[in-house]
Amino acid sequence: MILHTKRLALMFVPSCTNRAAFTINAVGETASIGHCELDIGNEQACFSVEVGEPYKDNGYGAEAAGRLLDYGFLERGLHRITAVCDGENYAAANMLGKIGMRREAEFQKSRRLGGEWRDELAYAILYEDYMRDLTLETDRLILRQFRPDDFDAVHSYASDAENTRFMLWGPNSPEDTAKFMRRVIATAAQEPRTNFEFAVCLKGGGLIGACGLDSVNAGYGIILHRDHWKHGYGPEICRAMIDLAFGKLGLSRLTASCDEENYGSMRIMERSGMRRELHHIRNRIVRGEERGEYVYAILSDEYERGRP
Amino acid sequence: MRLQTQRLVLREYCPDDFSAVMGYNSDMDVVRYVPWGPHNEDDVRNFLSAAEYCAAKFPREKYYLAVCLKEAENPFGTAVIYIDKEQPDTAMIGWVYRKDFWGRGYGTEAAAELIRFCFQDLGLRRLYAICDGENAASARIMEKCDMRFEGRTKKSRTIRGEARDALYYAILRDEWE
Repeated sequence: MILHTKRLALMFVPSCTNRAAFTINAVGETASIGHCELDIGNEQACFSVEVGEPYKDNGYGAEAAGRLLDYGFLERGLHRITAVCDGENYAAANMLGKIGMRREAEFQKSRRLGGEWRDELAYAILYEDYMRDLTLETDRLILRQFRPDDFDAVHSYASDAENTRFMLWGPNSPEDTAKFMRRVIATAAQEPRTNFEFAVCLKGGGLIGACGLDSVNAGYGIILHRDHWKHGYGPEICRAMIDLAFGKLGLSRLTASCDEENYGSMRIMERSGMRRELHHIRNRIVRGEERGEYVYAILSDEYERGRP
Repeated sequence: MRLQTQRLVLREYCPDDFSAVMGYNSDMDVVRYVPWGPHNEDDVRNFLSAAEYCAAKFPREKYYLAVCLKEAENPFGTAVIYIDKEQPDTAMIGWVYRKDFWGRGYGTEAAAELIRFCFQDLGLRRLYAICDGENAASARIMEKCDMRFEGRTKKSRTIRGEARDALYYAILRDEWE
């Protein structure tokens, strides 16, 4: 088993059943640069990450630790993950805060190091905290959880007939959008979470669309404000959805569909490495009109082969 | 409810059908290409009570029909109709038959009657059917009934732990008419 991140591959090292240990391998390095592990028991785990001296200060620790949290919560079904660091290890404390853990306790003189009793800091994160803040990052975009004050930005595209022309819903009334907002905000509290809805935001800018993935039906969908069409954001969002499905969520197959005349969406799916599998002819009635649908799919082994 | 064709009767299941159903639902060759089975006795009892429950429900969403020869009491297979919850103008149809009844056109005869019933009596707009990527016999029934091939989905169904391809076929009422 290999857990991938943007720059790292965590290679599983078999040990005992209540322990998931990995070596950390970086792109372009032949030897491993460190190791990390989760000690699992009672639906909880304590994790540790060690990165070799020459590789420190590159954010590798946070990258590996973040991936371990995904693995623990999403693949191992853990309910709580903890970590402990030395009381004066500010880099580690900083990193733990950065991946969303909160400081839970300070242990005084709890660890013996080189003949000296040292203080320790204990950090923890719960499944619900992790899910509430689940955020994905692409080159130009941040996909974050919805907030009630996103209403205006969402309504701006969702109420537009041109923008929703090929959607099964819309154009939205304010009540429709309010209902959507309530639904997507509620999904963040699902346990276990199977519905992953994200607000699509420009880095350093506003909300320009939405995307959502359902891990039970293994399907996803995206929408972008039409002011932001034709900038290549579509494939960027699709790749984030595909990464989420095959990386964090460990799915083996993912589908997406679009109206048979939605050429923009077809191009986005094709550019994202998806294959067209089905052409449903007049399979649904949308706003009183019979419409056809194309269904696209990608398998995890196709995705692995396409990996740079 | 009861449907008739030249050689067949499609009727509701009853508890007396237990041993007939046990005969085909427990046969590995019969269920090779479907995601359920082979059934044991409890599974068959559950199946028959589910069939009875669905028959009593209104509005009806699912039909599990016993397919019999006209002159015989015992069914030799099952034909199903699942009406789509979100799109009640659409339904999925499907079937399984006892091995020694294969290759005699019974499947096509029953499927043609299911299609007629769905369009003419239930007033549905669209029917679709899905079979395993290697289930040539079932795909042949769909083609003989003039269902249109809509595509192959790769490794989309898990059958006894194995990810397998599926074939999609569909037919619209105006195509059928």
